[in-house]
Amino acid sequence: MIQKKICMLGAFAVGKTSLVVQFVKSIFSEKYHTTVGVKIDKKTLRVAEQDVMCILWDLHGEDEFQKVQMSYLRGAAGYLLVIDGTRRESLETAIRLQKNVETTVGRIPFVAVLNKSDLHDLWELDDSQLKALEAQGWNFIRTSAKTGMGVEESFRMLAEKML
Amino acid sequence: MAGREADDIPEYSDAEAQATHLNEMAELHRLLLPPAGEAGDDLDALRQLLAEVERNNELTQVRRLLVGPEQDGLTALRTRLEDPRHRAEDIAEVLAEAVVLRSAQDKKLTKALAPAIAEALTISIKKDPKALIDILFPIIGSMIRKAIATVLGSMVQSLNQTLEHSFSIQGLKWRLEARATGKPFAEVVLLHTLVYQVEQVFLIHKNTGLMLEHVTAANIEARDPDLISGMLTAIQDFVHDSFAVGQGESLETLRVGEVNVWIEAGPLAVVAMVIRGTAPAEARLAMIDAIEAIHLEAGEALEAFQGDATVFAGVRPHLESCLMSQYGARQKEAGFKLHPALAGTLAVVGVALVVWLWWGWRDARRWEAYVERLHREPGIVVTFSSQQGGRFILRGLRDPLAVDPQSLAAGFKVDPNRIETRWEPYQAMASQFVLARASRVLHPPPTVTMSLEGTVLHLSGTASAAWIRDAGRLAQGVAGIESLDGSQLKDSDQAEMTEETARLEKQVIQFAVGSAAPLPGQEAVLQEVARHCQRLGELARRLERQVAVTISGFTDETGTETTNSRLSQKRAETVRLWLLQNGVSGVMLQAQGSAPQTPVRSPETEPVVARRVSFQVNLR
Repeated sequence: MIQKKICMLGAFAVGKTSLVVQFVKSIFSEKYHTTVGVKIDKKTLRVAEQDVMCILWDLHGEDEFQKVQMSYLRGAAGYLLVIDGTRRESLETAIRLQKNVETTVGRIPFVAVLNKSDLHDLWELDDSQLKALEAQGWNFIRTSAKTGMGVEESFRMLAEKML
Repeated sequence: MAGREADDIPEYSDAEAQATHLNEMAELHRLLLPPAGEAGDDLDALRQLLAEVERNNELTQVRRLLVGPEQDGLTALRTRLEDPRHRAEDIAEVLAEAVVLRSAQDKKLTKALAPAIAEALTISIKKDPKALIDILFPIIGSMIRKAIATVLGSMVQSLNQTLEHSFSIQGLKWRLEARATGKPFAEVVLLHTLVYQVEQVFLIHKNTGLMLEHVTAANIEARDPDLISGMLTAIQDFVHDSFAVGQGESLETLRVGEVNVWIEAGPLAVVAMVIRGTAPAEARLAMIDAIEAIHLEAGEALEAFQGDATVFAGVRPHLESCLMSQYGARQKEAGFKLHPALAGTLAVVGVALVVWLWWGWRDARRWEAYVERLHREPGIVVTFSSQQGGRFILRGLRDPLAVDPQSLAAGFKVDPNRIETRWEPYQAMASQFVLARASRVLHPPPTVTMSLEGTVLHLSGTASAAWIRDAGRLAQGVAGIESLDGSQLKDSDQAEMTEETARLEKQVIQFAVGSAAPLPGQEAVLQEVARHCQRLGELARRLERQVAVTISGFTDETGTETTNSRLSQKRAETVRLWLLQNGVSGVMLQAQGSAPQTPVRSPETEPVVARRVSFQVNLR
């Protein structure tokens, strides 16, 4: 069994925690976010004939009041960069966070998760911008924490990139 | 190397000596073979030289033949010396040996290197302090602990002294335990007051926060240790980021109620211990030992960790050694502690009680021994004995002739004044008591021996007739005697009467020729006669007899018969009169004269005495 530390990063209220809740049953309460800024959960995946235990560090969403503590990313094998498809600014935050991670922790695998993809009507992101990012090596996956769509896949994709 | 301290180092190294030698050789070579360059400046000179060369061509060839190989060698050496890379290679080849050789000689090399090394270390630390910390980490802990242990040792000593003066029942128990186990008293106190259990020990990869290994105490069920490892790491990061703490400092303790989480961080891994209760400092030391040992054993694996924790199974024993616990007697909420004054009083009372009890016990033993002795004493019958409130009570029977019980008490260290007695008199029938009683009644003379046979009193020896007569009568009244046997008893008065009679009848009073007055010096004989007569009178009275002494006077054969008859009568009368005048009584004295008779001879050598008075006793 291989263990990997995975971080969940993203702007405030993009649905990081909802994704985790879909993915795994948590033992810690939501309070951790507002106190220490992180909540830890785990999920075991079977990837490439190997059991991988993902220790998920669900970091507090970044907003105008609270910055993501980059020290929580130390030792992470990869991260999910969660974007709220219905809020353009969450993509900008994601881009800023990704750069931030690259400068403080280094280039580590990540998957950009476009959450709330069930809300087609409210979709704000334009494909051209996403394509430009894909050209820079970003991998996007559409998910819905509400329906569970793409959740498992996003983690699996990240795990495959890490191994 | 030699540049800075050249003054201090006059000797040259092998390499330098070699270089000097080579320089000399090159100079010689130049003199022998001037280089072409020098001549090239001047054409004339060149021409001259060429001519000379031509002239000397043969000579040159000869010279080449002679010194050619040497020249090649020298050229090679020169090239080598001028090339710094070659020089470095040469020195590198011998450097280690040179350092060893020099260090063996003296300390100059060490001195020369010291400032450089110090500077190098300073630069290194400034550049990357972590590298040095990582190098020192496995050993520095034990060094510091050793120093701290010394300081703590003296602290414990003083704590010990403080505790020495406190007194409690519990303390007394612990003090005994300290003596039994050989531990300092303070340590025993701490051990008893600390009750704890290390429930879980985590080994966490420092960088990733991933759990590498986890052990739990036998009775503990752990929930998601990998998540807790992550959370602990997150909390540490949070504290570290949120509060301005120094580099290398980290969260060491978390505490909620009686649960403590101790965290000890090494450069690559963290050991966290979940403790219920208050753990002693040794637990922290065990953690530090564990983390150091783990870094020593698995340092490389920690550095290369990529998520596979199975390689750390080997460090489990180190973590298990941290699973300490102490299930001692929990200290009572309000420790029973006596005020010193009260404790002192209690101690005094306790001692007094012990002494008092011991005294009582001792008195009882003595009393029992005394009563036992009285039971064995003849003439005493103890019917009741008891000890009441420090007084002894005795009831019973006692023969008046028996020993005084009070006088025996002293022998058993029983105070006679504390004994209350009531003895009923009785007559003991033991033979010694019967004999004692008989003796008190009969008053036997020393010549009489008494013995008892059953109820018969046997008497033997001699006694006066009167005593014998009285004894027969008195013995009837003595308890324990029914009859008297006096057959072995002799009458002493009768015997004496016979003796006295014989003595008196041997006495003779002498007279001068024709005189009725005794010869001078006969006074003593007269006194003797008087004593015998007196004694005879007494004996006769006791024997209830009458005694008469006939005093006979005699004359010699000279003179007439009438005269002699009268003279003999007169001599007898004179003696009778003298005896009466000298107090002889109770004896009938008869004086009679007689005709001259055959002189009386004394039994032995006495001359014949005719003129005399002699005596004859008659008992009626």
